[in-house]
Amino acid sequence: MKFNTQTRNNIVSIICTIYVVLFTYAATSKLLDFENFRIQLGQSPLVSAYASWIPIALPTFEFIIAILLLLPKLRLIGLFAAYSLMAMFTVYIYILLNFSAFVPCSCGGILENMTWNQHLVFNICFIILAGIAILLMPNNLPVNHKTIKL
Amino acid sequence: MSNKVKFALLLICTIFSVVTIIKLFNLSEDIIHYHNRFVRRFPQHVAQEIHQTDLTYNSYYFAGIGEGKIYLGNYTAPLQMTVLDSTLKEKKIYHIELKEKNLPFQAPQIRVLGDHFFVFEGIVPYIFKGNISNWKASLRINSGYHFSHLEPMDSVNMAIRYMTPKSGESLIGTLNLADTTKVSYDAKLLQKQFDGIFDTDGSLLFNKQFNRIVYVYRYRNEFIVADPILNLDYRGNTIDTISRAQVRLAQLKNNSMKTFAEPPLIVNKTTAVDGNLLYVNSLLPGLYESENIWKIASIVDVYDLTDKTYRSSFPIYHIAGKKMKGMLVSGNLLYALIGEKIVCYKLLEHLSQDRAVRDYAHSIH
Repeated sequence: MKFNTQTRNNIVSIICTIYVVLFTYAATSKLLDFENFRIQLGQSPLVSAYASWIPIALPTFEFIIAILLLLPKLRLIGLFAAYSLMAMFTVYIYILLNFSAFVPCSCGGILENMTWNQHLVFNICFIILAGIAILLMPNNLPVNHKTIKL
Repeated sequence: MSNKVKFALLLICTIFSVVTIIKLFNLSEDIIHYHNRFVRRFPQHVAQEIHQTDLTYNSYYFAGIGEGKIYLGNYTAPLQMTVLDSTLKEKKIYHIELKEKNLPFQAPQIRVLGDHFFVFEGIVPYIFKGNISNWKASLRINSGYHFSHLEPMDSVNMAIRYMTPKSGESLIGTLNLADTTKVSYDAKLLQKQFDGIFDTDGSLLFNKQFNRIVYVYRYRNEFIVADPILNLDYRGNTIDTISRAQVRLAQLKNNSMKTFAEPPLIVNKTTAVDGNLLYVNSLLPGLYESENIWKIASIVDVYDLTDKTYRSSFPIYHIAGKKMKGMLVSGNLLYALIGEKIVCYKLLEHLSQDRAVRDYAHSIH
């Protein structure tokens, strides 16, 4: 598929915005109900042993990635980070469903109503989106800036 | 950055993510099962109440279980035996008849094992033995050391917690009803921390399937597994971190009696054992647990005796604000005495948490 630079930039911007909204929302909702989140993670079969630092590290990463995605110069790094985090979450859910001894109840916020299988599909969509955005990113940022100016 | 480089980076990110999570998962499993830093696991719905019966009084205790029958003794009517069926619907009451009646009876207790039952009081001491077909018992032991706990191991051998003369310290031992010269004890099984009385307090259990004596300390995070001739198999730990009993005692003035200077820190309250699993009602909340659950339920931790590992935990809910005071497990059924009620919980296989959830699909649904 061939898109012109403007379309490519728009698609990348839209995907980045979706990601910023998702991560900001996810991180904020975790911090707002931090105790509950910590308890839920403690009950999660994969990470219960690390429940002391993951509850703080996860929203922090989400905020940092959101900021990276907002800064045009760091956007590519942000997209790779977002892609990796989403991939980790997906693997986490996959292991949870297939290898873990029990499946914890739910995560928070609007995602609460999703089953784990729906969550898996949701995550894979986001991974694909991040992949698309990375591939559509202008190959050379400084040059692109000039072309846009022209 | 060319698309080739981007693809390569995406691939690296993917591999990195997958490996990280798999590593985390393996480490987490390892930590939870073997080096617990006191994080409990509450799998969903492993224990569900299936029967409940009102016993009218709250003075019952478990005397034994066998062949689909639950035997209940009663502290306020010491020679009354209440027998319930496994669904708690049918109730029969028997009166135990003792041949010798001229003993200083105060608070006799009863245990039932197989076809036999035992009536005993360690402070006198005496042990009666009889058959459950007619509930008549005759005196077998009326001398020897005082004792504070008794669990029958078979029809003649008893696991006993003796009290040493004078000091009153506890010792685990055995007793043969047919041959009283076969009294034995091992002073090293229970480990004294400061007084040998309170610090070694705990519950004595006998595991029929594995033929092992199990002793769970009340005030520290340890349990002892020994064979019927008192050889130590191993000492295991419960998941909490209380390795030293936290009991402070005060001597009463003009009295040799001691009393608690402050409420002691109880670690393991009631216990039960069945098959390879040990059930411990712990009173210590762990990390990352909702405090609400501790207000409405007693928490039972499950350990696998074959590999000394913690498996999982589940709640037994209070009834009308009353906490569980005794429990008994037989196969996949757990019976608990709560206030005036007796309840039966069905335990699902995945409480031992040793396989992936999909392998249990048949047992859950």
